[in-house]
Amino acid sequence: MNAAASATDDQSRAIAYPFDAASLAIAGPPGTGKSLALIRRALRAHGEGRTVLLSAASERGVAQLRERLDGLEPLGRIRCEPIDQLAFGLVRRHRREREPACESVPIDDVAAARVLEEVGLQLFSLEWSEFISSEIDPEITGMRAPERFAAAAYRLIRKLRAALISPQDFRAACFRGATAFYGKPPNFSSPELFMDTQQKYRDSLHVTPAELARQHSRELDLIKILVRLYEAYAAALWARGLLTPVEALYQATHLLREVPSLREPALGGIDVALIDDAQDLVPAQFAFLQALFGERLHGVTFAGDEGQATRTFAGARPDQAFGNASETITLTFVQRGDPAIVRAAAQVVARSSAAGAAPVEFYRAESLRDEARFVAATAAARIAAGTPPGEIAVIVRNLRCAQGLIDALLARNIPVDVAGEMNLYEFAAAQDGLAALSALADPYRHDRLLRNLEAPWLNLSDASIAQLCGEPPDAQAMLFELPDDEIDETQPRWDRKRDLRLGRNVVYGEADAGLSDEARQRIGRFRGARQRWEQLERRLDLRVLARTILEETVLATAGNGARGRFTGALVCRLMARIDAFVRRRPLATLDDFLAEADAVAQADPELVLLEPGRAGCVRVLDVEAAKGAEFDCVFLPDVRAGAFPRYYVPEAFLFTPRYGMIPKENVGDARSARTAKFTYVLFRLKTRERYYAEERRAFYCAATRARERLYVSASGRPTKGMGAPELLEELRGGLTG
Amino acid sequence: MGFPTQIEFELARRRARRTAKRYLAWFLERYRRAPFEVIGTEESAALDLDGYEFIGYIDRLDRDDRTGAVTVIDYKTGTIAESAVQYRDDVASFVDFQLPFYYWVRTACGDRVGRLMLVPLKDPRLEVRPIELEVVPLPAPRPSYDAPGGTIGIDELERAKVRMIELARMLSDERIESFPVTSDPEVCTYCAYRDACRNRPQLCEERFAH
Repeated sequence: MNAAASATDDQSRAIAYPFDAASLAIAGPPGTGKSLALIRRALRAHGEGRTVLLSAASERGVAQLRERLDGLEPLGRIRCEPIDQLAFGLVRRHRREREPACESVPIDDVAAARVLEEVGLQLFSLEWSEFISSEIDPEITGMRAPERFAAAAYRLIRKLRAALISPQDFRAACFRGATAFYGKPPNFSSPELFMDTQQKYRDSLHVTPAELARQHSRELDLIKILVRLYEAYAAALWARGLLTPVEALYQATHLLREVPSLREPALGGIDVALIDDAQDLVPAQFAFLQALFGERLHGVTFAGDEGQATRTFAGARPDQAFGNASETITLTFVQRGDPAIVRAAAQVVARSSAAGAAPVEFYRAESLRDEARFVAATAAARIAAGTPPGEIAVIVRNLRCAQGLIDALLARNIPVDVAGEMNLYEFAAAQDGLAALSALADPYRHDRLLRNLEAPWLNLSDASIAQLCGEPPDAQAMLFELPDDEIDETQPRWDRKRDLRLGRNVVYGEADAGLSDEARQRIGRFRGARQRWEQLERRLDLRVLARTILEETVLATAGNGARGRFTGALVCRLMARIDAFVRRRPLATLDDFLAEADAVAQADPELVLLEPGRAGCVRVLDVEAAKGAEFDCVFLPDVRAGAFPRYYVPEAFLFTPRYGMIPKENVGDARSARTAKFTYVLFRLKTRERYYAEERRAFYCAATRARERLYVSASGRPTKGMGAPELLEELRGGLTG
Repeated sequence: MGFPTQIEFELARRRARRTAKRYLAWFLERYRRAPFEVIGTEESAALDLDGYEFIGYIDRLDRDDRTGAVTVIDYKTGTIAESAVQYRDDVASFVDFQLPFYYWVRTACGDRVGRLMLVPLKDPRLEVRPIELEVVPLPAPRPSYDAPGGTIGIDELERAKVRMIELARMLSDERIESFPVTSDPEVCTYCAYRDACRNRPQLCEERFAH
């Protein structure tokens, strides 16, 4: 960080603003130096002998602040950490004093979602007494697919916790909302409502009083089920001492409100707090800060840009920090990047025309593959012309759909790093790693063993694999018949005979006679390696064992070049996961880790994050991971309706404090697909419009990561933009007139 | 039970009851219009075509009381063609062989098959509106796009039969090195080998909202 670079007048005002005043907000568009002003303010506070909390709404933001502080003199009194760390410390200390036997344990969202699934098991097996006594009807919206229901319930509960809404508050709000809505239903015949509703859902507005009463009854059952799940989930977390970051904030805030004397110990000497990306703060973070620093947040500085608020549908409330600040200083001078790019991107948000030209290039490809080739070729050309790979970013809306782009870049030997909302186990290299580990832990796991046989370290032909899958001519007769199981072909273990046969052929060589010499040698080497790993398993720590296996398999065959290094980086992340797992569970076995990996592989994609890895690579990021970063050159591919912006697909049930629960699907003896309440509330709250406004802000945030050059591309023909906007065409139209 | 959880079983049972009510209403209305006799349910269907044995099960067979013509009926709980012309296109493009196969099975048994019918039972909220095709000897005119009823020519059913034989020959007699990978990543959800597969199609955003 260049601490010596001169500050603008506005930045100087922000830096010099008194610390003992009520909260300050530093606002401004991208590139105006908000984070820099915040850091300088932190340095000033440090210089004055104050203890500083320098933080951000997300862990990614905190990591970026840490990076910017790197290289400066040791700053012992600047604590650069997530806000929830303070909360966690407070809850843990308090709990330990009262229940010495209970240790508070930090967990992530994936683990917390599993807790909810566990408490939901009795619901899905209809074992609740309320079902037996017919107090609750289980036919509620979303319940036809219990796994998805549980995932939706977890997302809702997480938002409720982040909004500091307890199960009791939730129940009260839901019943209040239901009573208000069904007690005095709105006018479903309103022409505006009718015209705003998609044709296929208009039948939901043709409701009789009897049908409304029926939907009311279904909604009450949904409320009862969700309240009970919420209560059981919170109780389970408490009983086991488990704390997600949001849970820590929730409990800590309530604790401070009940016992104000805990405030000083919780602060641990911190005098001032400086919070970046404040537009992404959730109510629990804001309320915790208020509990620590007082209602008017004396000593707290927020920095951010409401124009980049992309987390409101996830529960963030930008109005808290910026609406309540005693003083707002808006930075206007764009210090880094091309102001023309910022103006051009701003036009997408404002749906207006930009003034003048901008260094933005557009490309519409025939196909996704063609588009990926364009991105890779252009990136390669820029690198050849002198742009360091680390100064190039490809920012996508959904990282899970970026595999084609990653492949195209690697095919040109361009080093790549990936970060954002993505499951590590979706990558082939990580799946290969799990397969290699599984070959030791459970060689009868059919799908993983097959993956080993095809993997580069064995690379057997289809004919050899077919041979290994079959019965050898001299197969020993089974002593007893395996019981007939109900077949679920979606599960890996649905055919035990098949599993046993392949496993025995690979491990014991029962089919080797039918293999070619080359195949026999390869499988023999693999068998030998497996036996050696079995020996090592008895004496090596799990981390060292796993590392050994991965080095002899995936890493040994990763190859050189960009693809090999990409594979290596993914395997390093896998090994880091194993390390973290062993730290949490020192006595765990390889089986335990693989069971955990299986559970994580099935997790809700919204709950898993991939942190940035190597420097010096072209970064493939999603919008959230790109926030706060800047690059010479940015690609925004797949900017088409349905991809960027994503289509608005409402959850199975929504909640607002005013309307309570809003079930989407009309269940039971229904005529229409959607409930009348859902159709009405979507119209009333303009939810679709708000969603697309947030997608525009996401585009703005992504586009303004570019300092010098922005490439915006899409494939196929544009739609008319009726369902969702065609942002590339809007931007192109605005810039070219 | 066949369902992963008790709740799924219970909800499926309720849906089935609702669907059954609508089905019965349709069944009775159809009988009132043109009386028929149900001559078979879950009827085994086996046919040797050029040395290849094909087997299946016909959900229901009706014989018209007045004309003696047989209707082959297949119940569908998944997504089906939305119109007769769409179904004919599926047969012509060799996407669907089921009803043509049943036609040939029953013809070989001596029946005069006059109609082929797909009965959708997916959505209990909707009235049962089957896709119904009258079998005609001459090349059939193309029905209007969204009509549930229409005709299908014997020549089209013959072409489907020929293609079935070709495919059977390919599968059993020829050496297939590999099957092409699907381009639809959603299909992988149902595949028992998805974790083994090194060629899974890439995920891409849906083009149309659902």
